[in-house]
Amino acid sequence: MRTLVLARRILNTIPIMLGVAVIVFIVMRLLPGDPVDIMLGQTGAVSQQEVDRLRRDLNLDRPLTEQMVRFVADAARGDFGTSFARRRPVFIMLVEALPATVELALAATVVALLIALPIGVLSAVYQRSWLDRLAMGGAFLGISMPTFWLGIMAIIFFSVRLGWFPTSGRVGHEVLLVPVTGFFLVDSVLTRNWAALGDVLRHLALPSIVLGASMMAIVARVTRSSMVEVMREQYVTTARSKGLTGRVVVWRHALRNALIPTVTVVGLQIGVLLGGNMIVETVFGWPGMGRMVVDAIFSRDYPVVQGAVMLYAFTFVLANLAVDLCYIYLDPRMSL
Amino acid sequence: MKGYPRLLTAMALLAVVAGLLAPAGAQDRVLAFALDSEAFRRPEAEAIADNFRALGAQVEVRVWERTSMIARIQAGERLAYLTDWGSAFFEPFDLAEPKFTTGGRGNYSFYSNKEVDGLLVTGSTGADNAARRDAYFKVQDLLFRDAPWIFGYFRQDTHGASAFVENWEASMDSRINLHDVRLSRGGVAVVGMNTNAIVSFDPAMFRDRKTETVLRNIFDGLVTRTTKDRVVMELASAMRQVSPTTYEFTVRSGVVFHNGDPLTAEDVVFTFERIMKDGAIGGASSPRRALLGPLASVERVGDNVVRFTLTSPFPAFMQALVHFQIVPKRYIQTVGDRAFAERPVGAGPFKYLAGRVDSQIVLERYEQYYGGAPELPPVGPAPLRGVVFRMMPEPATRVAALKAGEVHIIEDLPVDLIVEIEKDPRTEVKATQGTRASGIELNNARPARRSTTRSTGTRSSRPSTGATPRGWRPRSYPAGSVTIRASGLTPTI
Repeated sequence: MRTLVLARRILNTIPIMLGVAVIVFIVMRLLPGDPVDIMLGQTGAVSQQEVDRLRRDLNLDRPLTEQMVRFVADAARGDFGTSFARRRPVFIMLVEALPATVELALAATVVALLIALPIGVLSAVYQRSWLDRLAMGGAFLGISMPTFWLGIMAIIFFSVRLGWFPTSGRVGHEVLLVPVTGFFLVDSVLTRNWAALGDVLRHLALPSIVLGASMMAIVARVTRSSMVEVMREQYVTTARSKGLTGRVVVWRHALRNALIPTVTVVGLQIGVLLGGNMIVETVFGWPGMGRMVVDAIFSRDYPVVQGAVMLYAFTFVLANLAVDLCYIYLDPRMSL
Repeated sequence: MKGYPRLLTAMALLAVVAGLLAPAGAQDRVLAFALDSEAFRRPEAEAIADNFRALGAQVEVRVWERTSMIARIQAGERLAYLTDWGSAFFEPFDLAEPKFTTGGRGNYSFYSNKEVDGLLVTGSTGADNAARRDAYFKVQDLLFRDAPWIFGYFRQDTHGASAFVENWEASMDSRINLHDVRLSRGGVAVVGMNTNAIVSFDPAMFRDRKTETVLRNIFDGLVTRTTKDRVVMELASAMRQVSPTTYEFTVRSGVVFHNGDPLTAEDVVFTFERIMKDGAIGGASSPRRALLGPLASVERVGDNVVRFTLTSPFPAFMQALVHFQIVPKRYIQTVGDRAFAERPVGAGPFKYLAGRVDSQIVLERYEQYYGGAPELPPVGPAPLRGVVFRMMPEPATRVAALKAGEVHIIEDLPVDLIVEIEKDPRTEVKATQGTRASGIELNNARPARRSTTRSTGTRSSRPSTGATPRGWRPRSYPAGSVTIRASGLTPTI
């Protein structure tokens, strides 16, 4: 039964994705600018013949409605078209760029949770202590600092001054990592290239901390407030009166119940991390989807933008689904 | 709901009052217009606006995304705009012609002068160099007289380099030739590129300079260019211009592609036919066709001689050929265009080892390299063991990577960071005169707004025109980083 519901939820994403794609299709065409004109750049002369030829090549000479119908029909079959600028299938470009983005988003989430959860819990347990004040002050800073600025500062301090981490990129050219899955952490383990593993981790450090900073701050604050509330519940008092140690009460009884708002926030944030990391990808020279989409928007590469936005919609829906599944685990009274 | 009628009445009253006031304001009319600019030229636009304000004009700077701005300009909706136009041919052919010809592709000022049109045709198709030169000088005089723009300057192209880099200087056409470069420490040079991704590994499928910079280290052309503007032989050992419309190139013998195939006249013919024919690249057409001007056919006329026949004289042809790289016919026909674009094989100083267009591209020295252009020493295999191109779109990151010693050369040093690189003993600034002409283009087709309150539609005039004030320099640019010229044409033409 549950599998059926799950399958239905996943299938439901298809009309959502197509709807989103149609909106993007229209919005992109409302943007001023001609993809062919941009493609031809400024160098040399360009004949009208050449402009017409390219426009025909890219199907831009067809009426808009026909273009849209063709696009939706192709997309429904899983064909996202071919990039105007790079002349490669959009699907392949997305598949190539996605692992970099996902790896960074997951690393950022892990870093954020590892730091934020304990901070949130401890702040709630030792409410109004110096630790609480310090942690919440830090969280306030984490939310307020612009990612761009934080990224550049991290590079200047940790890479240029201290030389601890590389400034940018996913892996150094010296370690000769052979890509298999596109997830470099996995690839270095699969190919048993331990030098590459260390190098990939060093490259991941700064971008994942910078990308995870705002999530860290939000999660710490949400966990704290939810913990504060839960700690006042009667079942916590009951657990205490049963003679359980403070540690067991906090981490086993209270935290599990306090995590529901945290999971909601994390789910939404993962969606944001996947879709909104253009800035981090640009600052850290990270070859992911965010940068590809920005580039595609500037060069009016319609098929790439459409494909990417559909993928973003899909990941958001999936993240929501994952959140719902986590709810059931945390509180079996809930159902899909 | 109750508040709406009152709000409407107030708005109507305001409109009436504004209408009544307008004629009074019109007596004291001031030149008022918006100056459009891209974000990266905002400080410059503000400085210019300040100058106008000092003269009593009302100027407001508007910042745009490039493509949107160009689209609005082309629609004729804007009045004055900071624009630039790059030339790669060192000829007015791709600078003056698109900018000043009636209806030209880059003619954002809607300038139209039949005499200029005619003279530009003489200049770009004439067989007699003296006559061409005369035509261009006449164009220059006419442009001074008509002053369709406020002509600006050529900004210097500034790059950064590590102090370990030897025998490299910035090139006017912005290519980074690494064949001749040495490092005093280490054998692999890393270049920080100012782009998210290069377009393709296929030399027939791009139209931008960044891609050419990478490809030019993997592929060689019949001819190449010095870091200034002189064209020299590369894969061709000699060139003979049989007539104003016929060129014959002798292809250097003994040159071998990275996969072991010998480079022959057949490969040269294939390279150009692939670009000239519609749909020749896996069904797609090359966007480079028009760069070849009136080229009609390419044929092999001897064992190692290739003849290029043009329909009309095209004096910029040799300059154009610099931008075409020779590809291996047999390899492409065997593996297909798509596989070739994934794993390029050329005859240049470095061969492709690994990497993707959007991250880093690793090249290694090609040991059997024939040596390159004899006029550009050193001749022989490259001194560097390898080259890495890293895509680093953020300027602050490029500068940080250079200072941290991670990269050896960085493209496009932002003007505000020049001083920082100059101060650091481990790094240096490499600058050269750029070929991108910047100025303020004026909409010659539309009257300027002459009133501060509303468009009067009475007497109309363009905003003031004329050469840039002597000694004027955008406030934020350090001395020496821009070259002020009164004209969009270089004196070498």
